[in-house]
Parts: sequence; C-alpha cells; structure tokens
Amino acid sequence: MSDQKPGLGDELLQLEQIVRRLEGEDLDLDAALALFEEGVGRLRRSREQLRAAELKVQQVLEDADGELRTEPLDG
Amino acid sequence: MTAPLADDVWSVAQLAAHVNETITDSYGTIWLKGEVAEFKAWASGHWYFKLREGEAQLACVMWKWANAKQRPPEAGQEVFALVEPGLYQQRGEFRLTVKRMIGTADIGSASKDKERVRQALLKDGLFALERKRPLPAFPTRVAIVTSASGAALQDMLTVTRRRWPIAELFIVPCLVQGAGAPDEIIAALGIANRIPNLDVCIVGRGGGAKEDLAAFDNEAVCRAVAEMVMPVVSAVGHETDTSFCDLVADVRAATPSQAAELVFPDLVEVTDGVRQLGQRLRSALERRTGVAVERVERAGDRLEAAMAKRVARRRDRLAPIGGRLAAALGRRASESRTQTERLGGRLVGALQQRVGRENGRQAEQRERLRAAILRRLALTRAETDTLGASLQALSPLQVLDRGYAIPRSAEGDVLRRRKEFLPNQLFTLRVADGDVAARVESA
Repeated sequence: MSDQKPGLGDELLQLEQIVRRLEGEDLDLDAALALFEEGVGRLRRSREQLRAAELKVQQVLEDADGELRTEPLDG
Repeated sequence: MTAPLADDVWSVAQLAAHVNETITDSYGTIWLKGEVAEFKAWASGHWYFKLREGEAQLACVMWKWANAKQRPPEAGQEVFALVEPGLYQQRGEFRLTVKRMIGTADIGSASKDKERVRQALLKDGLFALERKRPLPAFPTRVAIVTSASGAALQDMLTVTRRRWPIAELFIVPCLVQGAGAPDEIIAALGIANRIPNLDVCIVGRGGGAKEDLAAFDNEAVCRAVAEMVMPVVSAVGHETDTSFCDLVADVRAATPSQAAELVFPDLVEVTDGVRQLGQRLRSALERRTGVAVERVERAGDRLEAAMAKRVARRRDRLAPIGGRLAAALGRRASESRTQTERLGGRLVGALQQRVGRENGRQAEQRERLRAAILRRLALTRAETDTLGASLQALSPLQVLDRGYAIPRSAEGDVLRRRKEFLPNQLFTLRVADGDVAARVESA
C-alpha cells in the first residue's frame, strides 16, 4: 500500500536551488557542469512524477479482525 | 427470624464495588449544570465541593491534574461540569469526579450546549493557530472521509481528476448525518490515520440543513480530527456554514470542491513551472560557458601580446650580439663581415620564423577551443525545448565529445589555471577518443 520515492516537492526545491547557484555564483566550469548534471537528473525525475496518469481511487474498509483492505470504489 | 442463606449474603466490599460499577456503567461521563457550594481547595491541590440545585446537592472531587489550568470557582457560581458519577467506596458516598468545569456566565445565552463544546475545545487549545499544519505542496496520497454516496465525493473526484490526476485517493466511507454519524466519522478518521504515508486527509460533507451538519460540531469528532497524524482539511456544507470541525482542522475549505482545489496543485501549472526551471538551468549554463568563451578570447589576446613582446626582446638581444660578432670578425676580413652579417640575419630570420610558427599554432588552438565552445553552446540552445534523452548527452562525462579537452599534468592532476602551466612542461590533453601529449610553449 506504500510506495516511497523522493517527493516531488524535494526534487523541485533542490532543482530551484541548483538553478539559483548556477545563475548567481561564479563557479568553475567543472562545478557548473556537475551542478547542471544534477539539475538535469532532478528535472527528469520531477517530470516522471508529473507524467499524467489516470486518477487512482480506492475505498478503504476495516475487516472484522481490524485489518485494513482496499477495494475499487463503486459508482 | 430466619437466618439468611449463606449464598445470599453480599460482602460490603462486594456491594460497594457492584454499586460503583452499576453507576459508572449506566452514566459514563456526562455534562451537569449546577451551582458550586462548600468549595475547599486542599493543600494536595485537589478540590472538594458540592454541586447544588435547589434542595438537591451532589458531592464532587476535581483532582489537581484536572483543575491545574483554571482558577477556583466562586461560591454559588453556576457551572457546567463534565462529571463521572461513582461510589467513593471507602466512605460509601455517592460522588462525582469532575473532569472539566466551565462557568455558565462565561458562556453566551443562546445555544448553551454548542457553546459548552466550543469552550471545551477552546480551552484545550484545539482552535489555536499554532496548531495548524501547512499542507504539503505536492500531495500524492490523500484520504477522503465522507459519505460514499454524497455529491461531495463526486465533486472532489471531479476537481482532483482535472487538477492533479497523478494523485492516489483513499476514500473512507462513513455516515455524515444522523445519530450514528459521530461514531462513524470517528471510526473513519481512525482508519485514515492508519493508511501509510498519507499526505493529507479531507473530511467533510456537502450542504444540508443545520441539524444535518451537527455531527461536525460534535466534541468527540473534533477531538478525533485534532488527533490526526497528517494535516486535515475540513469542508462542511456551504460557504456560510462553519463547524467546529472546520475550526479544529488545519485548513478550512468553504465547500468540498474547494477542499480539493486547496489540496491539489494544478498539474498544468506545475509542469509549466518545471519546464521554466529547465530553461533557466540551461540558460544559466549557457551564460556560464559564454563567460568561458570570453575568457579564452581574453587569454588569447594576452598570449599574443606576450609573444610579440618576447620576439621584440630577442631581436633586441640578438642585434648587439650580431654587431659584436661583426666587429670582432670585421677586423680580419671585410668579406667575413658580409658573411657574419648574413649569419646574424639568418639567426634573426630563423627566430622570427619560429616565433611566427608558434603564433600560428596558438591562434589555431585558440580558434579550435573557441569553435568547440560555440558548438557546445549551439547544441545546448537547440535542446532548450526538448528534455528527454538529449539531456543525458550533456553529461560532463560526454562533454569531451563536444570538443572540450581536459589538460592534465604528468601526475594526472587537472590543470585549471594559467599559473599551473610552466614553460616546457609536458602535459596530456584528454580528448574524446584518448590522450594527446602536449608541451607548454609559453606560459
């Protein structure tokens, strides 16, 4: 029921910081390229997370023994 | 007189315990209104007093942990008290254990019960702004506690599909009106609390008559909302309705649709923002490499000037040598002088030729480097609109393919500054398909 991936918010925050550093700091070429490379990775992961999909909707119910189970929402 | 049968005899403790159990079972915890009398605050911190109404009165105790946050009541003050009736078995006294006490005078006259709940929630700080948690900017897993058959759920699904179709919704169905509603809402909140990694929980219902919304003013429901481990958005009824649940929740939405609007960002906007970040990332690097082109050009100019100076210096140095040679030999034979002068001239010519060659090579190298950087820039620019696989190709590891070269000392250190290049020093240039041996002509 759980899938843990680095949050979109984190990726975008880091990406924003990378862009600001590249824009603002006088970095040597190696550092700039390394930052750029990291930014490209975050950009790609952000876009993967944003790839439009069908909304997932499920109903959560509690069994008699107290276990949670999910089932498709009818209607 | 007949003696009772042994089996029919109760012990005192048995009866006391049984009576106590009967009382607590049948009353539980209830609100009571009465006037305070015979109030005594003991040194232990516990309060003992009576609650009185006309001729009737009941003994009360309020333990110090329950009364710690309030001032003692005035004699004769009318109060609402949340009490648990029971038998004080050591004394055989019927006694109320007071959990909470609020002066009725502190409360407006209209709907006293609702006011009592409000006061109780207020007193426990459940409306406090410091408690409010911000909503995550990009939620993915969101629970909705509402009626499975209501229009509210359909409204929220519609808004979510439109704005943020990458979400995963967990619907926890429950009754939202009628006598059973508070218990069902509390149970549903409990289930939502157990769903792993939830970002937000929305609780609410659509509009209805005032009585239909009553479950969301229920004290226990509000306390359950306050105990949720993730931020809660409350959406009860229409814009004009405000429930206690709205006030206890982290965020209040006017309607269920608005709740979904508040919780979910707009995918189109976010995607656009990400695209802009990508463009800024690229143009920042372009600017950065643009600066590199400028630097190379400036370095080239300085190199030329330095070479010109050196040529001039050598020429100056050679001229007197030629002259001296000529003078020394001239004494012997005039034809040797001509020879010497020719020799001197050849020397100068050779030197000039060599310097010229060096200059040519420098210019060529400079041109190559410049072309490489410009080529790189053109490529970067071409990629501005497409991310995908071409981004991968911009990896620093593949930068060499684009015409960059990395100079390394014999020890393998990357040479970054002019001062790291010493005249005649050997070094290697790492280009795309291997190393090239190189030597510093001039530094």
